Amino acid sequence: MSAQEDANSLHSFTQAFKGLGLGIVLAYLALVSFDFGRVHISFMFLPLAAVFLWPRNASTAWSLVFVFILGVFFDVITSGPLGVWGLSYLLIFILFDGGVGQSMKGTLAFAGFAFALFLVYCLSLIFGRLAMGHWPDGLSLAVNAAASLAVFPICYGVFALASGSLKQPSHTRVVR
Amino acid sequence: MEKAGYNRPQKRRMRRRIIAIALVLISALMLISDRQQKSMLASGQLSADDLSAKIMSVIATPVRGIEALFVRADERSNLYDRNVELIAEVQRLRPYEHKVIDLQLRVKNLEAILLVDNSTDIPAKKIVARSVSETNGPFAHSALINAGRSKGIAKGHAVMTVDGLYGHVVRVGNSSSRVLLLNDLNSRVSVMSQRSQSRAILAGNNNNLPKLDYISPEADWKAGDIVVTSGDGGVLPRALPIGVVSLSDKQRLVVDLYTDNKPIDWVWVYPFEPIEVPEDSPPDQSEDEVHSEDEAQNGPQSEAGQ
Repeated sequence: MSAQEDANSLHSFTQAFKGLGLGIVLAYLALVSFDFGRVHISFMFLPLAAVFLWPRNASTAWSLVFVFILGVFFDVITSGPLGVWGLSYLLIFILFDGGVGQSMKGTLAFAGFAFALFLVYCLSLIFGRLAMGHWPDGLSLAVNAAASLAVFPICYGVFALASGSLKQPSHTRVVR
Repeated sequence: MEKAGYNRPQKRRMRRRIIAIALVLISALMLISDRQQKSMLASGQLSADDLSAKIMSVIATPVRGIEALFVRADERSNLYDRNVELIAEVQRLRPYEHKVIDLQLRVKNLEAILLVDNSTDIPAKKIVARSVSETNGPFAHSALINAGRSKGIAKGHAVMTVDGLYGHVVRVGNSSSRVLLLNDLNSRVSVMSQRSQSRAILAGNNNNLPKLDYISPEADWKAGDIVVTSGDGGVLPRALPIGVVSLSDKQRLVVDLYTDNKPIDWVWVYPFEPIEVPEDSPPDQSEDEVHSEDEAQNGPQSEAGQ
């Protein structure tokens, strides 16, 4: 393997790792819940933003592993059934052929995330049913999804800043 | 060399497919194993809880501040009305205070005369902890508290707030514990009506109003009854306050929890030791064993008589 290829594979691994890091940060932010009387607001779908905005030039093999780790990690810290988020995130990642990164801009990115959110909403309902033996609270899921969609523009901005700070040098050719 | 180079993208694609399929299968396996209550990552969950408790205790502080700001603003807007209500309540309760003190003295005297201990089994020692994260999600209703095994918390301990029972500990790490809330679908607590002493099981249903199940036909329950733990089964202490009975839209008995509608910050863990089940040794069997031992030593009674 040439030095150029070594540099490329290290770079694509770093990009995948960056996606995982941002995903874990979002996973912890998703745990924050606001209780205003009978209204509970939390952002359970927030880590999906990390999967959706996963760097385009990240290694696909490593990205698959890291998306799976992110999903299982989120399952564990939310104390929900194991595998629900892991499997949902993996399927979305495969369906979108990797994350969209910064290739989608503005309204298009928002619409794309809303579509991904809808798919994960359906998948988590089905997988929740399979794991728990009964349907999860669909209304609570929908409220969580709406709250996550509302804060997506902030995530998009943070991701844009993070990708800018770790921008790939122009001379490297990316092997995905 | 050229041929190998030509095949490399194909090999890479194949490798990706294999990884994707393997990970999807592992996830599916996890789903199935979780349904059978066989947690594949039990030790990993404890470590993740310990780490999460530390991180969330930092994140939760400003969040609780914001919540308190809203709650206080709401309270301030009703300050005058609330004050009038409280003055009326104090006036109503003052005569009862003297009655309660008088009754306590009389009960104490009677206990001393009859040599009985009628006290509740609520432990005097309480462990203070902070609820750093509460998951009121579609799958589970649980909370993470920042105290664990190192402070003497064990699985099954009751967790209280100033208002009433919050839940019980289901997982204990070194410095954190996972609390199953009363409204979680897996929560089952034996309760009784403070008025009629009728028993029931408080079953969580993943919404704000858990239902009362397994009510016998002769049980006397009605809306407005105060629900407390019954202590049956020896799992939780007796007489911990839980909530008030109300009727749901479908005319089912549900419980309006005391801990509902309030941001939870500090909690108390009651280190209650569950009553141990006595060792199973059926009396008939043990008697037979005694007889057979006697017979082995002295011979059968009929023979001894002869």
